[in-house]
Formats: sequence, C-alpha cells, structure tokens
Amino acid sequence: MKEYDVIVIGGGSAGLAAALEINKHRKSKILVLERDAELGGILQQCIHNGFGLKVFKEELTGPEYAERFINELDKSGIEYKLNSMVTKMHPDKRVEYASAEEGFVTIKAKAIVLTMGCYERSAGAISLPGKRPSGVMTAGAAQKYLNIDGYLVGKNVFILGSGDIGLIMARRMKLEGANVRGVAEILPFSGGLKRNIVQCLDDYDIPLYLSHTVTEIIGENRIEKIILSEVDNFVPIKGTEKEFEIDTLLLSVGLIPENGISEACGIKMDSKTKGPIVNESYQTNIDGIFACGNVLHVHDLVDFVTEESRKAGQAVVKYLDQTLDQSSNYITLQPGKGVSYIVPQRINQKNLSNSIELFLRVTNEFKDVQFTVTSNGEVIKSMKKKHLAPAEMEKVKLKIEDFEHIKDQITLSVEAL
Amino acid sequence: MKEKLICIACPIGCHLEIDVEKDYLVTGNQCKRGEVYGKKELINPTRIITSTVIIRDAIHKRLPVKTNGEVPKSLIFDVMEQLNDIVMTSPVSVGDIIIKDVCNSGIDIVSTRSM
Amino acid sequence: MNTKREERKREILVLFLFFYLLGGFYMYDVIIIGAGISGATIARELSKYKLRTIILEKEFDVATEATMANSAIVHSGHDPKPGTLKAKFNLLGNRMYKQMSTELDIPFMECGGMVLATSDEEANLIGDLYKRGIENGLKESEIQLLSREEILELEPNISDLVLSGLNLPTTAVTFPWEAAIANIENAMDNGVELALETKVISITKDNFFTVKTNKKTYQGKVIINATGIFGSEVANMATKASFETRARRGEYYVLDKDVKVANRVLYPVPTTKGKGVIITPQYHGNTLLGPTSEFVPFEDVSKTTAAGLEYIKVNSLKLLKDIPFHKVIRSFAGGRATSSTEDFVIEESSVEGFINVCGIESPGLTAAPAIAVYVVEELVSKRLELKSKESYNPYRKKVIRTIELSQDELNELYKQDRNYAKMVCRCEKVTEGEIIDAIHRNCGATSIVGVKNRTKASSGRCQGGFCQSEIINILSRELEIDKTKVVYSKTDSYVLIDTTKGDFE
Repeated sequence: MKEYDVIVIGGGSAGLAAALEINKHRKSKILVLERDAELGGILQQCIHNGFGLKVFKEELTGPEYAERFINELDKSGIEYKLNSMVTKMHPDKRVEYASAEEGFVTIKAKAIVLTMGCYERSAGAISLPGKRPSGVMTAGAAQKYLNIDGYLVGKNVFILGSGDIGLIMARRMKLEGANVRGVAEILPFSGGLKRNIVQCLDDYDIPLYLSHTVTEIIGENRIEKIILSEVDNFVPIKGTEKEFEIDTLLLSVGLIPENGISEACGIKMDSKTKGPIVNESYQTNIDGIFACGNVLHVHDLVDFVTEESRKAGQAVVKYLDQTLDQSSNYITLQPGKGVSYIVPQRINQKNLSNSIELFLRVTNEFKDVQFTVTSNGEVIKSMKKKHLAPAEMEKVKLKIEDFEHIKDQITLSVEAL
Repeated sequence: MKEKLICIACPIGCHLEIDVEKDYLVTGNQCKRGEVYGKKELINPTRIITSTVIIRDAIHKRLPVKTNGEVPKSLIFDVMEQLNDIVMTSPVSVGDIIIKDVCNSGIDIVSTRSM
Repeated sequence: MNTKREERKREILVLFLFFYLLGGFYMYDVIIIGAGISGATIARELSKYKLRTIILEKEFDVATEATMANSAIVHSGHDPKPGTLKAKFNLLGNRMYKQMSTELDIPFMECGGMVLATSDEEANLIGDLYKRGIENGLKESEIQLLSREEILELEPNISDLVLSGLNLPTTAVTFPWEAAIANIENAMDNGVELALETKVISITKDNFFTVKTNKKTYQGKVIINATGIFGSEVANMATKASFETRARRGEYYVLDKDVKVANRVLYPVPTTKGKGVIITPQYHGNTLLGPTSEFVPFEDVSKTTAAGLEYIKVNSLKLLKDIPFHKVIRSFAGGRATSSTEDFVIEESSVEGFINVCGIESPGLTAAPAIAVYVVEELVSKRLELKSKESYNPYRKKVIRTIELSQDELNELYKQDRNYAKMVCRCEKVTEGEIIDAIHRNCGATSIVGVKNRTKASSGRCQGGFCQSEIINILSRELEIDKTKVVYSKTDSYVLIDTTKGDFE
C-alpha cells in the first residue's frame, strides 16, 4: 500500500491552497486526489469576477484565480491525480479511490486534508409541490451546462433563491439569449451580495420578488408554469398566487458541505454548518484528519477559503513535525443569540501563537449592533458592527490575552448597542 | 437632489449617496473606488463583461473571456453579439486578446484561462 | 397459361410478404396493454410458452405510474378482507417473491414488519387484525401479537403513543420499478416484444382483436388489459365495462440513507381509507414515508401538495419519536387504481379473449406474480394452447452493483472493463460500466430517470446535481443521439434545449 505524508481530498480552491502551503513549509510526500478531469473545482465554471480582491489585490474571474494556483502546483512538483474519486476514508487514515487509469486503490497517509467542497440543495430536498417534469434544476448545474459545455437549459427562465449563484445565473442566462422572468426569495432580504443585485438584476430589469416562493410546479413532460406566492414567515399567503409561464426553473436554495465520506468515517459533525467540528488547527475529532474550505462551512468569498486552507496547511505541517498539541483540553465556542455558527468550534490555546480568527454567520440582518464575546457571564470583548447579514460571513479576531484565563467555554452573540 | 446607489466596485457593497447638485459629491463610501464609482454610475455607467466563446479541440466546449476594462453599459448586448461570432481553437493562454477594441470601446476581450 | 399462373402466384407471394413485413398480417397471440408490475409479471409468465406476445406501453419507459409510486412493500397478507381476490393473491404472491427476486436479481429485503396501535381504540382492533391474518391463511409463525416492551426492544425509535402491535415477519421490501423492469427484461430475453410510447386508441374484434394505437395497428387473439387507473377506460374500448377504476393518489417523502429511523416496515392500524402512512426502510438505506390517500382526477396523480406532505409528517410522527425531516431528499406522488368493485378485477370480460387485470391497488405489487400465474394458467389457457418453451430461461443476467462488491471483486471487474472504475454518481457510488449495461439490456434505459431506476444513479443526496451531465453524455453516446435529444423522463422532456451561440458541432 502506497504511503504519503498528506493526502488532500479535492483539488479545488481549498485543496490547492492547503497542498501548496504544506509544501511551502515542509518537504513532504503530498498527493491531491481530484475526481474531475482538471483541477480548480467549482472555480472553473464561475466565469464571473469578484475573486482575488484580498489574496491578489486584483479582481479576477474564477478560472483566472484557479489558474494561478494550478500553475503554482505544477511548478511545485506536488503529485496529483485527476479523474480519481475517493469512495471511502478510514479512521486509520487509509483512503480508497477509483479511477479508470488505476482501478480501485487503497493508500495511506499520516495526515488527510478534507477539501471536498459542497453540493447544491435540490428541488426534492425542499419538497416543491407539484409534478416532476424536466426543466427544473439547480443553478449550479445550469451554470456548468452553459459555461463549460455550451448548452442553454431553457429560454424562459425563473429563478428561486436570491443567493449569489441564482443572481449570477440570472445575468448569464439573459446574456446568452434567455428571457429571465424573475428571481424569488422566501426571506424578506436577498441572500446574495448587494453588488450582484445591481449587476445581475437591476442592470437587466429582472424583478426580485422578496418574501415569495414557488408553491407549485405545473407541467407534464416539461415544466410549463409555476405558481409564485407571497409568504408570511415562510407560510404561503392565500390569494397572492401569481402564475408565470416558463420553460425552466433554476434553484439557488442553498449549498451543503459534501461530507458523505467524512460521516461514514466517524467524523463528528456540526449540525449547523453541516461540516466537521474542528479545532483552532482545523483538525477534526480524528487525529490527523483536517478539514477546510466549503466542506467545513459554506463560504461566500474564495479569498477566505484560501486564507482558511493556508492556516489548515500550516497546522498540518505542525502535525507532521509533531509540534501540534493534541491534548483534549479545549475551550468550546458557543453560538449565542443572533449567531448561527462559529468556526472553529473548539480552541486549544496551546496551539495558538498570538491570536485566532473566528469565522461566523448571523441568523438575521442586523443594523448598528455589537458582537459580544462572553464566558460564563463575563464580557471579554465587544465589537461594534454597522451591518450584519446571514449571507455575509463575518470574521472576529481574538487575541490570546483576551481569553487566556478562560478554561471551558466562550459564547459569541449579537447584542444591541 | 441625492441619488442612492449601492457600490459594486467590490463585494462589500457600500450604500452611497450622491449629491447631483454638488458636482456629484459621494458619501457613504469606504474607499476611493466608491467615490469614483458613484459619480461614474450616474454620468456614464460602465461594466466589466464576462462571458464565454466557442473553442474547438480543447478540454471544454467554451472558453471563458472578459473585457479587460469597463465598457459602457449600453454596449453590453453589442459586445455579446461580437462574442457569439468567435470560434477559437486550442491552445489559448490566459490573457490572450480575443477581440481587440471591442465595439470601438477601446477595451479588449481577453481569455480568462489557458485551455 | 402456366407462366401466367406462376406470375400470379409470385405476385400473391410478393403481396403477402409485403403485408407480412408491414406487420399488417402479423398476428400476436397475446397483446398486453400496460407495462406496470401487472403487465410485466404476466409477460414473463407468458414467455414460458410458445406464444407471440407484445407489451404496448404509452409512456416513454416502463413502470412509470403506480408501479413507480408506491410503498415498495411485499405485504404479508394480513389485512385484505378475507375471501377477496386481494387476500388470496396477496398471500400467494408473498410466498413467490423470494424465488422471483433470486431468479431476476431484484434486491429483496426481508426486514419484516409490524402494525402499531397508537390509541386504545386501535389497540382493540389489533386483535381483530390478528384474527383476520389467520383467516387469510397466515401461519402462527407469520403473525404474532406484541406488547409495547417487545416492540421497543426491536424498534427503539417508536413514539410514546405506541401501545401494542402485531409482528409480521414475512413482510419484505423490494424495488417495485426494478421488479417490473426485471420481469420485462426477462420476458424480452425469452422472446416477448415491447413497444413504448404506444398509446391504444381503439379496440375492435372480429375473429381477432384489432388494436389501433397512435403508432402502428396490432392484431392479437387475446388482450390483457393491465392499464392501472385507465383500466375501465381501456376496458370500455372493447365493451361496456362492469367496473370503474378511479385514481387514488399517494404522496411520499424519501429520507436520506444516512438516517435510520426504523429496522422494519411499520404500519399504523388500517382504516377504511387504506393502510395509512407507513414507514418503509429501503434496501440501500433510504426510508420512505407515506402514502396519503385521496381520490383525484387523473391529471393530478403525480402532483405532490404541501397539505399532503404535512399529513405525512404528522402521521409518521405518531409511530416514531424522531424523524429528521431536514434529511428529506425527495418527494413524489402517484395514482393507484381503485375499482368500484372494491376488489381486484381479474377476469375475462364479456368479450371473449379480453382479460381485465384491473383495480390493482395495494396489495397489487405483492400479488403480481401470483396474479400472473392465475391469468396465464386459468384465463389465457382457455383461449390459447400453452405449449412450454424448452429454451425458456427464468434467470436474467446478473446486475452488477459495484457498491456491494469488495475491493478485490471490484478490481477483477476492472480488469475486464475499465468503465467499472469510472465513478459517475458519487452519492450512490454508481459507475459508468453499470450505466452502460443498464442502457443496453433488453428493456434498457433510454432516459435519465430510466438510468436512475435501473442503477440508482442520481437518486441520492444531491439528486443528480453532480452526475446528471455525465449521464446525459453517456446516454447520448450509447444511444447515438444528440445531447439535446436526451430525455429526462417523459416524451420530449429534454434537458438541454440548445447550444449557445448557434454552435452545431
């Protein structure tokens, strides 16, 4: 059985950044396993710009961003295999994968980095009432057909979900000749970046229906109509039904971290993020298995994915050098009022140098509030925030001195000023 | 009169207020780019366009491209028409100019990946 | 004069051949209308004999209606009204399922089942249900009374409402569409023909039946009407039917396979509306919750409703404590045929040779193999001679399911065909080799949902979000059709509408 120092599962933005970071600090036998025919992950189909503002101080498109990392990887000599699908991972860090070139192979590593990204929530998962004709698909699937294969999936489109993928696809479909009738969002606020509302909807006079959802799909063989209803706290309001004659419904109703392999291996999950529970070193509950990027929690900006994955890579180096403290004394981070989740979920202070950066998401839109960091009632720190939204991931930096004396738990919540 | 806009220069999306009478004075921006954007958006709105063109003999059927600068918003669909006529053949390098001075805008269409 | 005679003979021969080739004089012994589980099992049964048989199916694929949307349960036979055809064929069918599943390589899960009483009223009815089961012919080893404690030991997730129950160890779970497909594939391997997208428009009879469809016209000696909710509509084409079939819609939820809420099939106590909302664990780990039960117009049978799904949530929580509804990956609905006679209709109509197999609602899936034997040996035999076919092979070629193989077995497979290591569906671990095989067998897949039903590809967590594009590529290549002509499930239900930029390669 071939043995590696590190196996990175997934060659997208997270996997590339982690592998490069490890290689930068330590000569190691690294293998990146990628299921697709090329590296880059989802970036290759994200042909729009908005990537790299923080990492490269330039605004790049997805493929440009990916190419920078892929070029670096090629120069680095790090081994990678394409068209190789990991099917199973064991707690003893054996990894099974399958490829047309090699068949079914089992390999082993000292450390594994999980960077499998995420998948889109489907129509079935949100139980859209009505029939199941063709012409209903996720926005990301339509994006791949359009940008990679050159196929339009419809000419008369409606989009459910105002997350960035939905907004981006509204513009793409319009530019490629489709008629985009509207975007509906069940919440009273959009899930995407404000700039996308302007560039993707306002620019093209595509209406945005907030507090609305699709309450019926009509069509026998192919979709013919949808019924759109206004909602009050997720409940459709009778009498507000609007009919739209369309031939395509695209769904942008959420991304879910792809942790099939992780769960089957016994990795403990956070029910809020749908990703593994990790500590300050991005290590899961299994010794030597790390996670970063969208598989850990869904990000908005690839720049944060790169940042996070580099941190994870640095921790993997420490792990291989056996300088990572593995004691089970840690502080747990609790999401308090107004906070949906915090990553990482645990901190072993011994592994921090001087500070830690926490990623978190809030439960609602807030204006002029503060983040309050407390422990057993004691306020450790508070930070004023002008504007918070669930669609915009927040970073909170804590210095070691801030919580040196804390032994068990820290709660982060949103409070009024 | 004050116009309200959301800045699209970067993903933060500051809420801008532009006073048309005061020579388009911009407030609400967190950086210089917002100041520039606010005024320009009202006088001469421009956009970066990203799209794809047909490519043959490559790993995929489409090559992603972009304008390497901002073009007037009114030209968006004219640019798309120009792109629809392009047929590239691999190999192409990232940054290669696909169309020079598209629609007389002074801006080029460039490839956004090597393929 | 001789040459003129010869010429005339030759002319007649040519004309005869011409019409023969046109199919105008091609006489079928049996024409089966409907490729659901009933038509499928009857086709297989008929293929044991030297009879020219064809199945006419109006949809793009087989088994797309009631057979596609039911609880997938092979019932023990405990609850149909004693003395009915339902009771008779349920028990007989149950006892045939294992052998059929082995011969046809259909996944068969012998998990057992329980009826659970969640109120005092229901607890009182359990005793009656037990007696009914015994009356229907179940042995004591096949039906037992259970206390709450006994149930709790076997099913730790039952709700606090459960008071007592009935143990039904001969309850099993199958894949109904796979069962139908396997039966038809085997029937076709043994000579039966299949005509898809062929809708019957009229049926007339002289010495034989002439069946006009939206495509060709067929002639046959015997007709089997196995058309589900359209049963009486088709029966009325031959003569005024003595029964009426209506559609009863059932809606269902599907839970992701990483959740296990029950070890066996859990039934509530049945009511006049039917068996109620049942919890059905499935072979590869999913759980089915449902169905609802309401009479609807035919055009609404496949529609799910918010109210229906809510009904399932509420009622399944009567049986189980903990159901992670956020793990739902899909919901669907379908219509079962209820006959006005309140029982199966399995008989020759007043028109000789026109055999109705109608009103095959629950326990139709279970009863199907037994009904097929009866239809052929007792009804068809009265009109046609049943001459055994020596070449009849009851086995279909084993289906390779890579998810069930060990790594060594997989590598053996890989050595023969590399396509078995190309993973297409990541959620359900289905390889390209399996998909190619599913396309090229008899009764093979011709659509995306067809591939799903035969291989499970795209039936998992992401519902095809990842693999659908590759499935389209494979179908396009193997069926030699343009990608824009690959169908999702029904006729003309294309996925890719057009290439962009007027690109035709």
